[in-house]
Amino acid sequence: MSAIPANPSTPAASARPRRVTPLSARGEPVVWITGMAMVVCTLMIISLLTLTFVMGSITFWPRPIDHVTLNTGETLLGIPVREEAYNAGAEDAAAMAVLREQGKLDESMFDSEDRPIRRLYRVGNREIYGEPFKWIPLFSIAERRSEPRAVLLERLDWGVWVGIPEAVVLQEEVLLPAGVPIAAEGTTEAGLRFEQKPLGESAEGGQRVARRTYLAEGDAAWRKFAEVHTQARATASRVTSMRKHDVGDVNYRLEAARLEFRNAELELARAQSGRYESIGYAGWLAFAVLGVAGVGGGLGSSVLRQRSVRKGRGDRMSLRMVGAVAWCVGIAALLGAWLERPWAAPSMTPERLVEVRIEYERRSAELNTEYESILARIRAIDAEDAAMRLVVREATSNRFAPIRQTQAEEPLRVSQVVLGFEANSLSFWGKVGIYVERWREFLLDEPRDTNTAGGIFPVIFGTVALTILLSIVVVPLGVIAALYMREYARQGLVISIVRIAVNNLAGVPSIVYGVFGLGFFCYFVGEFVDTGPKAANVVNRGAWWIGVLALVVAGVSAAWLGLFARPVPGVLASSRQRTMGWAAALLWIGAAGGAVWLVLSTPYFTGLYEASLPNSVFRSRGLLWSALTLALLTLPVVIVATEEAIAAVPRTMREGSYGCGASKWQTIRRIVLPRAMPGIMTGMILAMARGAGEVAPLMLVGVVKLAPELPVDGHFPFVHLERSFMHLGFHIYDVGFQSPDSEAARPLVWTTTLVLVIVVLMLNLSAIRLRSRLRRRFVGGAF
Amino acid sequence: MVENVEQPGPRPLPPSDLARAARKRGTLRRVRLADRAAALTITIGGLSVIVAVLGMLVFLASEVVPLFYRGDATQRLSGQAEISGNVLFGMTDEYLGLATVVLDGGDAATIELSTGKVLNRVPLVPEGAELSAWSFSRGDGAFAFGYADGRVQTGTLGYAASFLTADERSDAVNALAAGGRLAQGRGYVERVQLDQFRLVEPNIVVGDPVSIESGTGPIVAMDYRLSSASQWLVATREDGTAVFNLVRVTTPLGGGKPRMRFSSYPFTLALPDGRSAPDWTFLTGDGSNVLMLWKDGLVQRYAVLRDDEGEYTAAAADSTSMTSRGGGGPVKVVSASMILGSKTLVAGLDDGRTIGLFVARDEAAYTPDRRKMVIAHEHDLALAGSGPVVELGIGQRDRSYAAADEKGHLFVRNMTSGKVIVDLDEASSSPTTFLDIAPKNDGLMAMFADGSYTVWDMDPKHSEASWGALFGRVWYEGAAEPEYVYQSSSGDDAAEPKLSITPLIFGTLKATLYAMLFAVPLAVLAAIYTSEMLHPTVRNRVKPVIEAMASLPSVVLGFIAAMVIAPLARDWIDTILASFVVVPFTVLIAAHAWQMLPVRLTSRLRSFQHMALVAAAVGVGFLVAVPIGGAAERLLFRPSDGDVLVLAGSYEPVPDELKPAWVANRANLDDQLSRRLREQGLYFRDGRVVRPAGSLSDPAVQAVVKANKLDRADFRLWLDGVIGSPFPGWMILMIPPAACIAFYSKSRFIEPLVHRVQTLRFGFPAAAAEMAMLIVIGLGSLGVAAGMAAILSALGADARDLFFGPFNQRNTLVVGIIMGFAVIPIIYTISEDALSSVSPALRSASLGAGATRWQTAIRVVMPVAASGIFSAIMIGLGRAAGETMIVLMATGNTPSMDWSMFSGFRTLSANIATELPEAPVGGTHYRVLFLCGLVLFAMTAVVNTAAELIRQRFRKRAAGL
Repeated sequence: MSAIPANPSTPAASARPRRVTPLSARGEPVVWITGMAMVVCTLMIISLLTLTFVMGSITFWPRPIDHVTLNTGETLLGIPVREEAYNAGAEDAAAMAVLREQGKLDESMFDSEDRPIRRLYRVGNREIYGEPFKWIPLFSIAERRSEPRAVLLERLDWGVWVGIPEAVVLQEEVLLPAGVPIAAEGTTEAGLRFEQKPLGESAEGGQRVARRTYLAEGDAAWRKFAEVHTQARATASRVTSMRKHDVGDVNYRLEAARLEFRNAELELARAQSGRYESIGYAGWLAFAVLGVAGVGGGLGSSVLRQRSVRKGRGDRMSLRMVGAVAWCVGIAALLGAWLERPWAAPSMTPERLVEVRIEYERRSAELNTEYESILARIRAIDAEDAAMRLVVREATSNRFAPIRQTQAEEPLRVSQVVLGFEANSLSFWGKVGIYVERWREFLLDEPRDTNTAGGIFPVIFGTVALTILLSIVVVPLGVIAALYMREYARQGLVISIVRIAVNNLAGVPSIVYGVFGLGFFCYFVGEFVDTGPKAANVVNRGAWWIGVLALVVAGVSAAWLGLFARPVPGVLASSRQRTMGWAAALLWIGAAGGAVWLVLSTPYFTGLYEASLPNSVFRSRGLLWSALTLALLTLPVVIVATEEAIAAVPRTMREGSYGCGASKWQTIRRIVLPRAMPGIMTGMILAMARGAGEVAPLMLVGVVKLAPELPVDGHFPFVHLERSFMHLGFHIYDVGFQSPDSEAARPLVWTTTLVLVIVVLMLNLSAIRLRSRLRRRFVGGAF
Repeated sequence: MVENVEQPGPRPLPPSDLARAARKRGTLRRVRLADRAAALTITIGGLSVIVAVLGMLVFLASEVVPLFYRGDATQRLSGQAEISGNVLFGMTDEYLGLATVVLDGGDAATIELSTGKVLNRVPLVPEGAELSAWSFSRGDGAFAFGYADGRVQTGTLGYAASFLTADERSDAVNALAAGGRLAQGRGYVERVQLDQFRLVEPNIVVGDPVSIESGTGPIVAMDYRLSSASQWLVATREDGTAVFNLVRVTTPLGGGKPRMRFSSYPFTLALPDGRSAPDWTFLTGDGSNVLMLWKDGLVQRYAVLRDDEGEYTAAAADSTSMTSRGGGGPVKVVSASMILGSKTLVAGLDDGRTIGLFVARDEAAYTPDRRKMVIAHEHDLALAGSGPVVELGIGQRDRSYAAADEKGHLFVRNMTSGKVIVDLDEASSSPTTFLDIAPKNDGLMAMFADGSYTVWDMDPKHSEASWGALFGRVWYEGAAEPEYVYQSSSGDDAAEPKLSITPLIFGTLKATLYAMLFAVPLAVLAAIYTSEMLHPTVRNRVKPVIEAMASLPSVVLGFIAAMVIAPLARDWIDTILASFVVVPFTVLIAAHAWQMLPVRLTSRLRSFQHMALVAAAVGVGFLVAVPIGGAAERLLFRPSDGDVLVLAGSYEPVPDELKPAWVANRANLDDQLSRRLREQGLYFRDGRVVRPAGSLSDPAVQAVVKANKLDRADFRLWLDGVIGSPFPGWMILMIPPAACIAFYSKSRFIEPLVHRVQTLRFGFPAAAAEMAMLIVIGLGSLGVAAGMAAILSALGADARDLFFGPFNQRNTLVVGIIMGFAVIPIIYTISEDALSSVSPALRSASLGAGATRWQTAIRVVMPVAASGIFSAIMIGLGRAAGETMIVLMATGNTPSMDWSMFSGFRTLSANIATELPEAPVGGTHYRVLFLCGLVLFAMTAVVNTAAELIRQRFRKRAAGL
């Protein structure tokens, strides 16, 4: 608009008509590139989550069973799983050439690169095929149809069975009176067909006969099965429960009795070995005198101090310190004297041991009788369960599902079928029912078949137990550390180094925590808990008590020196104060080291589980050590979150509180902590999420493929933290990569993954929500 | 909060005399106590939490440090044996109670070490025979004698341990304290536990002297070796002939002396001028090599070859010479022996050195068996001025050996790692004549010429582990050169553990690098877009989505990587590689096209719609990448005519003069070497160098080609080096740098030129010009890449040696991508936080001054947030380095050292996860795994500390703004 050119030498400038942003300033292409990064990230996460959700949720949907006839005339029943193109070998190529001449090949059997396509069928019936999955090239299929009567049985072991139900049979052993002829076949009064097979003479003179009564045959068989199935499962689960609980209980009590006896033996050995011998009368006397003197000195100094205060000479710190030392030393010495009184009776003598042994033998005999009676009851119920059988024939070899792999001529028990359905005749709601039932089983049952079938209840239980335990440990520790760092420690070089260290620890790889946990908790601490201090380290009782006294003196003096070193706010520390500070710090370090040494050399602790050697209890991988390791791993998360939350509490509120005369702790408890609570919660949830999703350290410190027992049961102390456990994350790794039958296991891995992702996602999303709420509450009003 | 304080208001500071008069205005005792208790608990608790956490490092280090400890030896006893004469060889028993020595007279004497008494003395050499040579193998106790009359005799030396029953025990034995020993008969009894009495007795079996059919004359050197499958005996005669014998020993039923039958394969030594027969003869453990050693350090090797009929021939293979310090001068070999496994020969020299020599595989060696001898180790006796190494003892648990000089100074060393286990200066007036390491490596015995002897208890600690062995190249037995190997265990007992963790560190770095290459651009750019370009409401929706990615446990990512991504990557590798180029380019094209629309239209766009548009462009990009990837594969990775001809079997051998010298007489060529050959138009088939012959138009050839689709372009075959030239590999690698150069030159040189034209700065013409430039630059960068690739190929370099390699399904590319998933959310979140915490005032100022959002973002916000972003990257780096489950599940876990993106690797973390659960507590392997943990700790600590320092500085700077 200006008529005069701004710079006559550049004619272009004069032509500037409008104030438009130049194209290059908009940077559109680069913005698009950043947008691309955003889109790719979002796409990645969404596709990953979608994949997990889809794969995890379709697993349990019942799929139809194909009846396939091959060109060779062979038939099989199978569930199509997936298709893929493959590189045909010479044999297949020859077969294809023959078919091509006959004109039996068509386009749909090959992919775009002209490679043949094959289909994976789940054929089950491992007893017959060996492999429960079969690749069938499409060109080799002559006919494929749907068989309405085909059923899929999920069995207790040996995977699934696919076949056609034939009959429900009552198989029992009957006693025929002597002289009654044994007919091979017959009909009962109810009109049911039966077969009989002689087994031999019985003791009472009659004939033992195995009788197989056909309760339902043909199409009726499956209806009959559905009728009796629930009852049979209930009976079977009763047997399992008795085996597990009643027998387990007796075994537990037997073992407890044995341990009690073994403990008595060990106690005697200890009493005789001399390593733990008492300090004698002289030592005891010394302790007693020292104790009395200490207590007396404490009392005296306290009296002196009172008097000097009354006389107006102020509070004499030196007297106070002497008094404190005297009190502590005196009390410690008296405690030692009490524990070491030489006239106390020895805990175990050979005579007493004999009594213990007699009691032990009586008890174990009693328990063995009980065991026998439980077994008899189990056998009775089991025989009832064993009577009801189901005959399901397989398509190719006409064999039926056997009771055991080695007994091919015996049909399987009804109770061995966990879930069975006629896959091709199900209505939509029927399928939904099966789907729901499978999910129920998956979430609430125990794994079967080396984790390739069944449920993941112990896995979920282990994960939840670990997570809860971990948060119980980590939250108080993290909050205390954060409170110290924010509220108590002097903000200076040291604390910023500590802060760097804590942030650093957040970045230390989890496997390193695993290594530490294994070495420190499982082997070092675990061994200490099991068998006490190493024999070589144990000192005699006198020396140990002298160590205790020295520690007490060091601790009290360190505390006092620390008091002197405390600077007056706003005043630079004097050199004397600094020296005192250093001395106090050194004393503290020495006292801490001494305390560790005292613990590692104590003659009073011989381990909680020495009796169970050579089986170690805590010196192994287990739930407690895993929880502690993960607590250490997630500690920085909690510390950082809590610190942030504490820092976000406005200073004015604190100052207001102080201004009203509240003490520091009152301020923290009533003002700071409630305000910081959402932040602490966020930290806790994030820690739980990390703990639930972490696998690598757990592989080292406690997780196993298959835990025989849950960490919680009915035996004292009810929670068994030393036991190993199962974990969702490790289950994925183990079943997906270490499983003998990975094809069968893969669907379960997807569902397990889905469960894990949902758990972790839920935890994280709640943490994110909490955090954003917290931010809104305290930050608000930004530009 | 006033209820706990009696009197509000400041507490007066009373002078002492007023104190009594002042009203009591203190805090409630209860409150004060609670306050103090809280302070104490929190202080102690907080401090101890921090100390405990730091203690982790100390604990890890304390587990690692013993690795570097030297072993130690304490003298158990010394004594004087009642023997005279020189000791030829001997062995102690497992518990160091007895020593059986064979004297030069041919007698075996068993000495009880606690007293020095000779308990048993048996003559081994028959009457009238003159002993002229002997051999002894410590591991199995097999010995052999050679006589002046040409006969040989073999036997075994050993001990038998048994437990005494109650009836067999005398009263004196019953009176023994636990651990006490008592001589009984030919051996001794030890009370092991309260009710266990172990009797150890020498067990010497010796056969009759036998003549070897071929040749006569005194035997001067010999060796006799047992292996699980066969037994061999080599004898060298004075006249320079030697004989290799396969020995079959039969023990007659019902006892009696074992009988030997020999299958003899005589051979003549290729004696250099003026030499007599060798001073030592050795057989390697597998019976495939005979080593002849002369006192002046010359070693000759004869390869024992077996033909199809099962007949053996020994052919002169190669020779080498030990040299003096500094090389060249003469040496004198004083003692020699084979180390455990009988693969390494250790020789003691007169200048106090010991030399380790073994036979290594070398494809290019001109020897009948394509092996050669290498002098791999040279150790000095630790003290200066030590004398000749007169005696050697061999460890039975690892590759350790003991050596002693004349003055009684002795040391135990591990041959492979070179670590000095024990170094003793046991001055003795007479030279050492016998040195033995106890079978369990827990004791050492030395005997001197005057019959005195000393026994030490030894703790070798971790002899395989030394600084050099753990981090450096180590020359392992049978290897042609020192190398970095990690192989903690193997099925073979004789194999030694190889514990160099360098390949693991390398694997960790490689995984990290590839993950970061993928993750950093995506995460940082996405953070910039989210923070600067998106409306806050959209941002608050989008951000949690990416943060949710952080919640995916790595085991899930690993599972998906191995089960889904890896097979996909195998089938779609061309598309994936192409999409790295095609997708950004498509998005750029779309952006330029968008610019060409009128501003009135484009400025109405909301941020969510903008994102949708970008997403559409990305989608199109991926769709386009599919055909482009296929086309690029067909264009670049097709076989040459020569490749097709040779693959079709139409080739002819080349004359020798055309054959490159380096091929030598190799039987196999690895990928790299065969590619090198192919660069010259030659191929390697069935052990021969060939060149294509015939013509592709030949119908027979065409039929083969067609049937097997040999002329198909195949990226994986190209990777294997079967087809194609180096050019396409370089082309792919050069595209990113070429594009960088092209875009840089655009902004630096072309844009200023173009913008001189005023009309090209605004509106549609400008946009059109930009579009044109983009296309030109795209094509130009392809051209530049091709040019650079051509140059590099012409220089003879091949990317397949460096960044490509044979295709594994579980490869670095897959791990990089999936580990990107794990790292992206971290980098994204922290960068986004850094960007959005830049003071809003800065942004408003910039926008208010007329800058565009883009200019504000890049010129104002980015510089302020740069250090925050950098620290985000560092933290991501730390996370990637320590990631365990993904690498465990998605790589092959083979410790290798190459940069190829299609090979697997093994990281420190995966190594720990797989091996630590099985490692025995306190052993070398266990501690090495702790070292892995410590190294990982240190690596991440350095990175994280740097990140933290930068972030703290950034905070200060951001606060100042």
